[in-house]
Amino acid sequence: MADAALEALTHVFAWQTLIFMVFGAGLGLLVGLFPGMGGTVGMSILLPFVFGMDVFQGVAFLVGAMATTNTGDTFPSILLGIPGTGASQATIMDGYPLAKKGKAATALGAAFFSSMAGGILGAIALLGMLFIARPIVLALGSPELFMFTLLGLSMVGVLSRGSPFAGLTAGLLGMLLGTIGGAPATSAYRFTFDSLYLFDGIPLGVFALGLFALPEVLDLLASHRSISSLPTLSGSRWQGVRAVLQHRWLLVRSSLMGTGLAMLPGLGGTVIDWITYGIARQTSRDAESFGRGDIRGLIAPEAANNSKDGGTLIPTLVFGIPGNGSTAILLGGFTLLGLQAGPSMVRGEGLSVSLAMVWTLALANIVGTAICFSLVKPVARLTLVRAQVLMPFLIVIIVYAAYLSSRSWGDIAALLAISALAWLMKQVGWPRPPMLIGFVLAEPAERYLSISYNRFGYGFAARPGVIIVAALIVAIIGSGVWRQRNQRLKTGGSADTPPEGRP
Amino acid sequence: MLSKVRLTLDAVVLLLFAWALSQAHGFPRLAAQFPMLVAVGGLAFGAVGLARDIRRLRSSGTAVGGDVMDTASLSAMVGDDSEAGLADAFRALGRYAAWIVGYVTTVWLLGMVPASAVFVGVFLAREARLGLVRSAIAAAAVAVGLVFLSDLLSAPWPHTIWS
Repeated sequence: MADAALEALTHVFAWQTLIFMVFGAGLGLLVGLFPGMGGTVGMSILLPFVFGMDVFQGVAFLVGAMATTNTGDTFPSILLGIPGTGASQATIMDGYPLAKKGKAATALGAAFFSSMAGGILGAIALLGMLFIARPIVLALGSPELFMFTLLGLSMVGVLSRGSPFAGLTAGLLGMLLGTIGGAPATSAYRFTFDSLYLFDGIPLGVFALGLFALPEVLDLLASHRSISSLPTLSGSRWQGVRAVLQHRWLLVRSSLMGTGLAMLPGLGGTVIDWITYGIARQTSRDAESFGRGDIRGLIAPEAANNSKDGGTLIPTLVFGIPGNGSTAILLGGFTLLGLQAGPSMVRGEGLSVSLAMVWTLALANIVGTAICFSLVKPVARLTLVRAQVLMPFLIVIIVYAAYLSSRSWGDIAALLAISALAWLMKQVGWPRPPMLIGFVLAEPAERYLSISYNRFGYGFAARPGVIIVAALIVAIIGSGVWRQRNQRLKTGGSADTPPEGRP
Repeated sequence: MLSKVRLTLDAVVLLLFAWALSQAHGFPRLAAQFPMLVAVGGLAFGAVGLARDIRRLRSSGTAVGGDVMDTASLSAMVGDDSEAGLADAFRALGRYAAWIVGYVTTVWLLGMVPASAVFVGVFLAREARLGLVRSAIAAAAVAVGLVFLSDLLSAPWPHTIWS
């Protein structure tokens, strides 16, 4: 293990890898800055570019971007009161009031320092879990791994916003779309309509871009959103750092909580953010100051939303189950780099790559924070730019990035078709992350199912591990339905319905 | 209006799963197993979801989930609940969708670099009202950036109608 850690460190500190990591971290920051974009969109833009890259450089590029998105999203959340990504919603609660009080620099300093510390703690937790998870993973067979893919899909479906049934259906729809093309177990082509383009299936990059990027771009353009005024920056960034050090136990607790919760696939950054914020508030003596510019209300979610990256990587690496949209795309990136998530990531060369991710995660958080500290003023001005000015550049990048997936016009056609479907889904409240995760899980799920069937026949369903996971799936779906029913009863039938007057 | 779209989407997805199930019957056994499993699951959950949406529409007058309000969907972003506000937003959306389709068509006709430069320049001049000089500079920057990116990645351009 020590040898692998040293080898990983050597790869991470190679100058080419460092350049890709800094480039990825810079792009992650940029994506986090623009409201409505989010880590999934950023990762989907980067994905086609990793094709053909060296494994360590590609991993540094993607993990660098993933690690810093939740640092960059702090700018719009605190300065403008707009969540840069879904995972920074709770940051607004106390960050924006602090900015309105003229303490924006203090708030930014506290948020960035919390993000950095949270990210590093998340990386350490990932390292620890890799050691613990290794024997567990090696004891699992294909039937259990197949059930884990279904478990991941169930959790994402049930825990996503809106109806759990819509989430599960969206996940299965993603899986169905993931079966387009050649079957892994036999030489048969499915749902291809005799189109050569579909013989290899829809590329993940195109699917992710269509699902998230273009619908967001269209909505931002159509809503003519622009931010008219910027709160005056005052105070000191270092005051914020000192405030975090004063509340260091809150920082550690929130970071560990973020990592722990993120290990559950599908919980998502938004939920984790709110849970840590809620616990920080409930366990504070003078809780009434929360929501009015209390620095503790900023430290807890910011630490958690960066530390969760380490947590989401654990199921992604050792079980091949992506914890959220970004790790779903990362999993796709592994395929492009010739890696396979699962037991192979905790032994041999896979272990070196996993450890390189730990180093990159920690390093990217430090780099991201350093960049943010130095860019407070110019970046704040950039977030004021209207969508009409920024989006044409993004549209060009999206179309070209989609084309690079398989270098075919089919990529662009598929991008437009998926975007249209995703935009509709977005407008009517159908959750899209389960669809992406279903799409990514389709290939491993089918592979594990085929191996299980060939090895054990349908008797694989009687294995104790399979029964336990199946019971978990039933419990998760049941609890999701029960939770929604309870919410509806509490709010008199309006928990998941919009207010009067909405069409 | 959104309720009708939601129910239509529910029904279309259900039909898609039913079609996939019927298609999967014709595949070799090993290729059919997984799509059939997914299609059966999709039909079951989709049917329950559709039934619940219909019930919700009858009981509360809408089938659209509350998450539409919370997420950055167009109606929520516009911040206007009225039919007129939503109609304006949809008109704007149609215009921008046409811009994107127009851009892709121009790529097909002229090629990636000239089409991107023209698209960015004209979009910035017309929609963002940046002024001709700034729009032209941005267009040139996009062309240079694309050529640089293509060289860096050794990536080809999309074929045009002429190539």
